[in-house]
Amino acid sequence: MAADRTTDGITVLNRRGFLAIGAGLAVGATIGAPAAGAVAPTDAAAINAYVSIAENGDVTIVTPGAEMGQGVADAMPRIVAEELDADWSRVTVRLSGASPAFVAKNKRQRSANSDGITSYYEILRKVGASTRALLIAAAAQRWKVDASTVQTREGRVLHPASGRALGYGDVAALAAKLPVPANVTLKDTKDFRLIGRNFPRKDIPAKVRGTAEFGMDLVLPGMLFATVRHAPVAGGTLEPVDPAPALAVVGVRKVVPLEANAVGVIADRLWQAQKGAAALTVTAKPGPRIGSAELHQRIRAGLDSADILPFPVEFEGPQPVMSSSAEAVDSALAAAPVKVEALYEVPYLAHAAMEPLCCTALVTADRCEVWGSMQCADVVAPELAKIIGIPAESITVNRTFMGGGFGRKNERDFVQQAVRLAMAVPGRPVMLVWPRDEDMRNDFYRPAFAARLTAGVKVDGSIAAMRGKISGQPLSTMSQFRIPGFADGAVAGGLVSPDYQLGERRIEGVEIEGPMRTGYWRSVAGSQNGFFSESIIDEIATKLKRDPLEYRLAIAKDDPRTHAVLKLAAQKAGWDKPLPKGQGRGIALATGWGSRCAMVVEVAAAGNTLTVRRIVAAFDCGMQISPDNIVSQIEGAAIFGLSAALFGKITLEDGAVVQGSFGDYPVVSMRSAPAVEVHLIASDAPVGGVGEAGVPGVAPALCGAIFAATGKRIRTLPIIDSGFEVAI
Amino acid sequence: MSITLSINGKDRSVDVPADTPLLWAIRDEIGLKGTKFGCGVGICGACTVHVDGTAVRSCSVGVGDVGEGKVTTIEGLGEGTDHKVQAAWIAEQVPQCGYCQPGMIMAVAAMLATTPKPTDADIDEQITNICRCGTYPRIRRAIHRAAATSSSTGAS
Repeated sequence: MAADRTTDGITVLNRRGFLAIGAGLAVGATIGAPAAGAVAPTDAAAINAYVSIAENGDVTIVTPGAEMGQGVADAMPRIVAEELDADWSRVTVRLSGASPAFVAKNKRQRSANSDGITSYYEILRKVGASTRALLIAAAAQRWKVDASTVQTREGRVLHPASGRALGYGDVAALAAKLPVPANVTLKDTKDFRLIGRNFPRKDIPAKVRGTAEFGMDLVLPGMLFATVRHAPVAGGTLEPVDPAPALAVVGVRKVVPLEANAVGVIADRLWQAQKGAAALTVTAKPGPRIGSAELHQRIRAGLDSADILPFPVEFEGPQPVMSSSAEAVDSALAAAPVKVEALYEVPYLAHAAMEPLCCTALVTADRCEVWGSMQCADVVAPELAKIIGIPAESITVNRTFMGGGFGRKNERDFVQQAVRLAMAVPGRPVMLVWPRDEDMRNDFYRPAFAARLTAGVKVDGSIAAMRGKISGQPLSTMSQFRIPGFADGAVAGGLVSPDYQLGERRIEGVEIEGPMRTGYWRSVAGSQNGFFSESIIDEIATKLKRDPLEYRLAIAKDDPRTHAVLKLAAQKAGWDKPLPKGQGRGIALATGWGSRCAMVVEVAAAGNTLTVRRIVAAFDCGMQISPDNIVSQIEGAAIFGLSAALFGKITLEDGAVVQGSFGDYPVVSMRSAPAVEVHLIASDAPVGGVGEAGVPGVAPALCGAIFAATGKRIRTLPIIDSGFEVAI
Repeated sequence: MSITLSINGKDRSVDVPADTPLLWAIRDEIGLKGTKFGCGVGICGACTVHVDGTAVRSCSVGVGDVGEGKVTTIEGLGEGTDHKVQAAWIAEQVPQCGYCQPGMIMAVAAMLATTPKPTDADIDEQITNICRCGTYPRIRRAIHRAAATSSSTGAS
């Protein structure tokens, strides 16, 4: 086993050091192999943790990100391959488990916050360049020439002076033994031939052939299956469960209490476990049982609470720009000739990824290995170590393809449950699969919020002051990242738009207690504050009898990228072309993650039947790695946002979450999916985030379109609660 | 009890109760993992397979009800090469997470067998599978692309 090595600040561990307890149990989904179904060559030389090169020249590159659909299994290795000067057609991708070798510049390894590319871009380039330098050094040694005379081209080392050439595979074994260079030169970006161009995503063939390995597709020798039931009350705990009805089901082996709120059933087969779990009677211990009406009243009442926490109105780099004082905002509001105020509300939302939560665990006397559909990585083993009572170093964390994540699979509740179940059957792997209804009823929900925005506007349309106050549950997930004295950024961030020239600005948050577990949901604060902050701009434009596009351009900050996306989206949507009666367009701006997005939504209303006809987006994420995948992400984000805006709502009845599947938590389908056009703007801005940026603009643009079509201003989501019908 | 199923042209014997959903027989007895579990109640379509060429949500059919029906899963759709629907999916770069796509592809392949040139309205009517990544615009394009392909495989 090669020793750990360090290259340019990146700890590079020989990946073989991480392979598994239980011979043959290590898995690493491999995709994009030159031949379908091929696995990483066994003769490959591991140059570092990321790159292995086989004698035949096949290159395997590990993606440090977790692939949940966003394309990091393609884009991240592509960045390495660019600097490596690899032949992309010979590159196979492997998914990563948790490893210090794969932490990003923020010292974390998890796929969230749309920062996959932004937080790994330089690291991946250096890995590629460093690997290339080693191959050059190996070739130079072999040819007994100076390394400066050796060049590379698409997987080959060349010595032009003598006309000699070798494949990377010919020198990889030697390269793996050479000292890692302290400094490497990166390519000039104008010489990029992989970054910024379209290639077919390497994970797609396996995904259309049914061979991509998701968490649930893992096969391990001796594996048992398990499922789970939770207390049927949000935030509740379980009365002791009589295991007998489950144990009476053929194949059921054990009924295992899991912390205070759940019980697991282990069986020989998953179907048997599901049958057994369904046979159990699960009852919540007595406790508060709140319904949605009371909960939303509590949230609304928060808007009148004086118990506020301020939040910065924006950040300049890491530096917070603080709110104006309450007095300054109040006096500017009082002095303004036009006042616009609105109350908005949004509900709790579930993630409802296509693949229900799933994780497999194996616990032996002194080790543990988990395999799961996980966005997270670095935090998993330390948490499991406390549960099992073994060192974190004795725990191996593997990750598979995820069938969607949207923030939910950054949580570890299901991983910890899998380990607790595996502890009940030491030496046997246990695959835990949550049923759909458990997944939907035991989420870390996007919280429900009420927000009041107040704007003081001058006669010329400039906004002298804006105050935003938001009330709702903070995110459970955020508790460890909170800045003392401030509102939760995932609640309050961006409530007053940072994109417009505003005078006095103030953001205030009020925290209410609620029974729901709350967490990251694709675009996080943008998911509610995009709706609030852009809706109030629309309402001001209406009050001033100004066109929503013209008004936005008039008050937007002097940021050329912002102006460009607004203009392009409007132009492509035909903003200036009148629509027939009953149809309308709305526009919204969403910025964040270093990107700019503008969206125009076009609707038709016939009576109360609403059809979303078209969504046109203009998007600028700075440097583009994979343009077609960026388009794909914005298309998908638009539809994800549309599902929530039209239909999304989780409610409580007598303490229990009502919705249990796609029947009562409907999402956009083929019929209700509009045409989505995405127009990219290539800018020379630094690389920005993509995955979430297409979500926040949908609801405000849609509600603007409904207003234009019908004159009805929707301030409460989902839209179907305002008397509209949408064919699903 | 032992039940014989015809899966992808081969007779396969499974020793499960007759009410075991076809999905779990396919996945955990026969070991074909391309057919996915999404909701378990026949709404999402991730588990779609063909029984005698018709799209069926395998989570909601007991193995005992399949009888002599010939079951085709995503693994058997292309008969050794990509089916034209799979080829169209690659050409249009449809999948994101990919979890719903085997079921989606099976539903589309069954539709094209009876509606070879579907209109957008046909697609809206017949393709009711759910995709949470929101790949519907590309799915629509890929369906039209597949429909324009004359042979059954995407090789042409």
